[in-house]
Amino acid sequence: MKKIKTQLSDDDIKYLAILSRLSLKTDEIGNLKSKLSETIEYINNLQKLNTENILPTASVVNMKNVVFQDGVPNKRRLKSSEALKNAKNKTEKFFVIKKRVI
Amino acid sequence: MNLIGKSVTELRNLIKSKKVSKGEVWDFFVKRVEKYNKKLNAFLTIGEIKNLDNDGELAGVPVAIKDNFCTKGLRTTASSKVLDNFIPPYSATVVKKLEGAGSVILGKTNMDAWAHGSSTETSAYGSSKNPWDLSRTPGGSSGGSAVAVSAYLSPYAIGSETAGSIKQPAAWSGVIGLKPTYGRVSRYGLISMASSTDCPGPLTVSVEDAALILKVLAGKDEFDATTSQVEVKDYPKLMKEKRKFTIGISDEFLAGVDEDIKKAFFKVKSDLEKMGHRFKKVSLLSPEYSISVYTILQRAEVASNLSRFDGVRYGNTREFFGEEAKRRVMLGNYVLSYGYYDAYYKKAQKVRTLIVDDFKRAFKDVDLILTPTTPMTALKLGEWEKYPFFGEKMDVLNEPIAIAGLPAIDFPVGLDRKGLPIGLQLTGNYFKEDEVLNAAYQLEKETEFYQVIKKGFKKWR
Repeated sequence: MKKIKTQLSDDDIKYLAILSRLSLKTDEIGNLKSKLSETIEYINNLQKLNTENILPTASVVNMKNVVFQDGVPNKRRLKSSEALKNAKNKTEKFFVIKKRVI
Repeated sequence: MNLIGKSVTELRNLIKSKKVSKGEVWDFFVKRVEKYNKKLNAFLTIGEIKNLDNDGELAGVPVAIKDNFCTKGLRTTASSKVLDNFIPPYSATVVKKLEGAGSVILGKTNMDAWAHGSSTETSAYGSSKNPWDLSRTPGGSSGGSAVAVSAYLSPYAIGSETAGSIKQPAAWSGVIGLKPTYGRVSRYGLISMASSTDCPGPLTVSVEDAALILKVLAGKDEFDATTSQVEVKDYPKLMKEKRKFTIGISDEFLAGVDEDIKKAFFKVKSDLEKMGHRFKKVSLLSPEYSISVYTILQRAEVASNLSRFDGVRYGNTREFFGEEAKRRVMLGNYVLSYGYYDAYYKKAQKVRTLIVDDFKRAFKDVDLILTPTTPMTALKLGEWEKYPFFGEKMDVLNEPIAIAGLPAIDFPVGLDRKGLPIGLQLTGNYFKEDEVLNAAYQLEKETEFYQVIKKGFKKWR
């Protein structure tokens, strides 16, 4: 059995925060580090089970290729006025976001 | 008219025969909410009386909806400050179906933020209180829904379950909770937690009500590709057929369970035997592994599902996430990231296969499986901090069932030495909600669930 690292470092936490688009305060890091390490330690019990030749399950419902039919009107579509209603920052017909590319 | 404790079926019949008007029913429940909600914190938002000219199966019956179901025009927060001011532009399919059948939304109920938890204590709006003991949690994440039914602030409620979030609060609050087969009820408009196990279901005061509500909710939904084509059954009718079942019991699901709960379990077993049902031992994989499978898959799906909350189209920015949500998103991204994907995410998916096969094997021998719903009864508020991994541990007996996507019903079977409700659950094979309901209904007729639900109402006259 391959030994997997279970203790996270401060840098691991900071990196995960970036991947998760979360901004952390410095005093949050210690707590997150100990709690996440504790969880990772526990979930490693799965390594005890032999899963050779076992296929992964992504969904328990046996369905294949459920697709939306072309030409059928999409009843879910919202009017732009409805879709924009909850946005804080908008122009007439668009959501406004911060500039991403310089 | 004093309506306390009336089931949905009774209320509906009173309304249909004009013994009571829809307006009177509405006023009765709104007054109860006004009187008791400060103490219980079950509701976050109160609805408006409408839908009065509808003559459907649930005409005029109020319903409490968990606050992670979108309700058009009515604030929906998922108990997080990220959605503090979110007014959905559309309703969830579940909500549409209930309104289509004539129900009126009484209000939106408190929950763990994003359904992350088993006590409502991660709610940004404060914990709900257990109607049996205000110093205790009602369980969660559908805690507000369980409280609303337990204290009869609403005749029924809708919850959602990812792993235990309907049945665990139902058990701790002493009411009935039904989690259908995954894909039986549409998730469209339900704010996603873990999409591969999320499942809406009712919390009720009678098994008949659970059957009735399921019949309204179940079915293929063109807006949710994971809903099943399997035909919807006439649950209220099938529930009443005289049937004898072979019921499985598993030692693995009794390990670490509180003595009072075990005692109640064997009492119910002997009652069911007297009623003519047979018992048989089944061997299942230890739920300890399900904790890990569930934790990995759920965190991964949470990381993906919560990525849409960017504050651009609706809601506040990601700064508003609470601690629990942050932790889950980060662990999700960890198990999905390069170098760990195979060791965690893929491994968990493979063990999920083992768990599914395990149940399939068991259901070749038995029709139903009887287990406790929780390893202990309701904990004190704040006590969760003592338990690392609190939610997962409290839902240890629900996780295997949820991972496999099976239907199960929780019902109360007595009180422990502290006077708190004990819940057991019957799990059935895929799409065998009719059998699960049938057996629960037989037990209800025979024992009235040991008077637990009625005793609960007495505290909130």
